[in-house]
Amino acid sequence: MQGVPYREKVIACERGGTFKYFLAADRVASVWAALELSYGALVKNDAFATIEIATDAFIVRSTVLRNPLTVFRKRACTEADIVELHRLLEYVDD
Amino acid sequence: MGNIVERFALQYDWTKHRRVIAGREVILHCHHYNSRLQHTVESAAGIDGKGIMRSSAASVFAEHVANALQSGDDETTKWSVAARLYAHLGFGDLDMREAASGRVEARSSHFVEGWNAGFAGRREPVCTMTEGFLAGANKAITGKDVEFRETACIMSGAERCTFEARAAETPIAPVARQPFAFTPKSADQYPKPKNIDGDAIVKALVGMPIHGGADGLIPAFGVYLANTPADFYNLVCIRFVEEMTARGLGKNAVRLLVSDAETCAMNTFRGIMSSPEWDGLVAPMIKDAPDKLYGIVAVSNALGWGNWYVTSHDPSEALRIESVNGYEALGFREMRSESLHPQCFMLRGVAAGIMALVYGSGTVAERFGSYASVENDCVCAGKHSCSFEVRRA
Repeated sequence: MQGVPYREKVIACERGGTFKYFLAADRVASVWAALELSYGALVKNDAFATIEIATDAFIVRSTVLRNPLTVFRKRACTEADIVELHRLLEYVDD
Repeated sequence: MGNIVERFALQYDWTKHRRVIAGREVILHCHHYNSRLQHTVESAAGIDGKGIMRSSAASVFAEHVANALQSGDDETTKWSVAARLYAHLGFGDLDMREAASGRVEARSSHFVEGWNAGFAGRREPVCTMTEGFLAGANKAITGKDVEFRETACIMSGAERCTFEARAAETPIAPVARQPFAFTPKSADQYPKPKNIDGDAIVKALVGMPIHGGADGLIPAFGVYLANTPADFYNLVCIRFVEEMTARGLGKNAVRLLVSDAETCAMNTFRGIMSSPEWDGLVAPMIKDAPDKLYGIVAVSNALGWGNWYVTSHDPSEALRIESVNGYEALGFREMRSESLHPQCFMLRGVAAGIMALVYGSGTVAERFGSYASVENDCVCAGKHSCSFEVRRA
């Protein structure tokens, strides 16, 4: 069993480098709060029971259960964007 | 500009399971399928695949853009309508400010995303459909025939895709159709899956705003979707098979189109099944492996392909599925005529692909071909539905 947070690569996504990030249960609320503070308010899709925050660099999307989070990188996404995102997700790349 | 988007409001025909935007039936496919289909058509030796893609797009979009124009639009507005339609459909973001003088740029491209995902490393321009779109838009707006060529492409490392107009070698042909009256079988005749609420899934998808965002792309379900006119797919596939048949390669062409769809089904639906949207809407209904298959079928019934229903299913071994309203069969009847041979190559490949996805193992490449699909009956042959049989190969 991997420790959290950890991530899994998502196949057949928009482009390479899409991952699902699995957070520790007790960190979910604070991580989403940090994401909203940095990137803006989340948007809810009632039909699909999903929430997301979209930026120029990526889309962070999850079910309304808020965990795991799937991060879709856009073309404009840079390494610096990912470093900052990982900081907010409290994810340490190995 | 606010009014322009209203022209593209989705009309969903619940009886035919068709998506209509600006008066034309559109089909949702993802960047994997669109780039793979293009790759197949343009890579075939001995035929002008790019010409098929380009001229089909020109014919179809000359009508589609014309449909979106309104009396009273000045020329600047007309070019804006064309750009907004292109973005709304999910193909990307066109800068039309210099269109009247024959130059258009794009900052994003559905096809570049597709080629990057499936055929990374390609250096040649890939936005052939856009070349045809621009020629068709120009025809609708000015009444004149010109051709556009992509002189720089993001796929080749350019910052933007660039399209430049030149004199047309041949005029844009109208889409030739003949009326074909057809009443599909009622969905009530088919068994409903016990755990999957297909109607709820279709309803949620129809209510979802599946149109291009600020960059003209549609990132949804873990893939890039696009609303492509059914006429475009049908023209491209019919002409591809006809031209290959004229060279004695008709069966090869069919096999390629079926293979594209099989691969697409595995890529696309695997993306869909790992997406938050699937987790939020469909996954809570799933109790066993066959439910995944029923869930995929339900999702596909909202994509504008028509509607199809599982008639029998032996988990991991066999599937019988019937399409009552497939766009390929109806399109063939409208654009050509009756045929002794089934014409639903996309649905045939998808049927095999979803079995391989749900019950296969390993990578997409390893699963490919693990199930074989045949189309036993087709509306093109005068039947009331198209039926497919899939068996473990």
